[in-house]
Amino acid sequence: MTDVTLWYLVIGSGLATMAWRYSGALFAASINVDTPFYRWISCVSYAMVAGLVARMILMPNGELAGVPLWIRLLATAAAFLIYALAGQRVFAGVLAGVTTLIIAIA
Amino acid sequence: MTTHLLVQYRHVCVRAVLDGAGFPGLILLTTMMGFGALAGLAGFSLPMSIAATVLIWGLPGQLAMLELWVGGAGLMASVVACSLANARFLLLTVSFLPLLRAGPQGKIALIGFAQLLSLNSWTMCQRRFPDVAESLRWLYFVCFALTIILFAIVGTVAGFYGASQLPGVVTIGLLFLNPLFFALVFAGVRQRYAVFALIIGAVLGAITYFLIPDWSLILTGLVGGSIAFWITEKRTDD
Repeated sequence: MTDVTLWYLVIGSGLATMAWRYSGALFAASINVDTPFYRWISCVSYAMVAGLVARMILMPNGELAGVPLWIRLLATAAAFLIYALAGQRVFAGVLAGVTTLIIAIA
Repeated sequence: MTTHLLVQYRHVCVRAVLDGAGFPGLILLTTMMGFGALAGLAGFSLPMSIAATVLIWGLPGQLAMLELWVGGAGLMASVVACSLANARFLLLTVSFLPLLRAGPQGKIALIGFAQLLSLNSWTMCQRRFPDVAESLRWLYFVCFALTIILFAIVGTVAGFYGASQLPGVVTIGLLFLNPLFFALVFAGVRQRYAVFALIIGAVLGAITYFLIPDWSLILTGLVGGSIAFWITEKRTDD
């Protein structure tokens, strides 16, 4: 395995991701924000990203997978509760959630 | 709730850098530490690891590339794996770039915007854009993205040099920052169609991942998004 091959790998992977980005940019140029089509695309994006987040909480990979589901759910509930009580402060909610998780597994 | 309209260049930049240097920066620092450590183990040099973070700029693709490469799948297969894992960027750019219409629209600017976009900035901008004057939204986005890229580079370097040896409990807590932060940022999204899409997407994402993991994201987006769209359009017609 040579250095050059690894550089090809890095640059090739960069270009391969850029291909999606630039196709998206080209396509985006012809879309008007005030159209139903744009609202639909937005809905699809929101749904996809929400699916990703739900998956990170419910079915994580890596070290988080070792934390029991009920603890992850408890921590998430604590985060939302404190977020709501603290006047919708993301910082307070996230802090409460992570603290709950750490206390529950420690 | 405080909703000032950010109308001055300086205020927009400062807000974006501060937003980026909070949880998003910490998230990028932590997750890219993981990537840096794995890249080092895979035989990457430090410049290569940094280049991978900056050029690919999408963790799922970066990890897929490493996984296949380390598994001996070869150059082409690893590149394809990276690309597929990052296919979401097509949808993210299509839905994001139109929001920057009031900013620079030259070819170079658009390519730059597309390259800077990541899931973190997509999410943060959805939440913050209502506070920012339309003509300066691009500036908020660029400042935010550059800030978190900086954190990502620091994380990559730190991970490369083996700094990821934090106590297990702390690592797990830091990893959980990621979904929690996203979830709460979305909790502040107000547009009705987005709220429906988020709720339906979260439920559908969990179910489909359990049943058909490979197609989960595409299905969740298309089916969940279309249902949310249909519900909202119907309600607006009334």
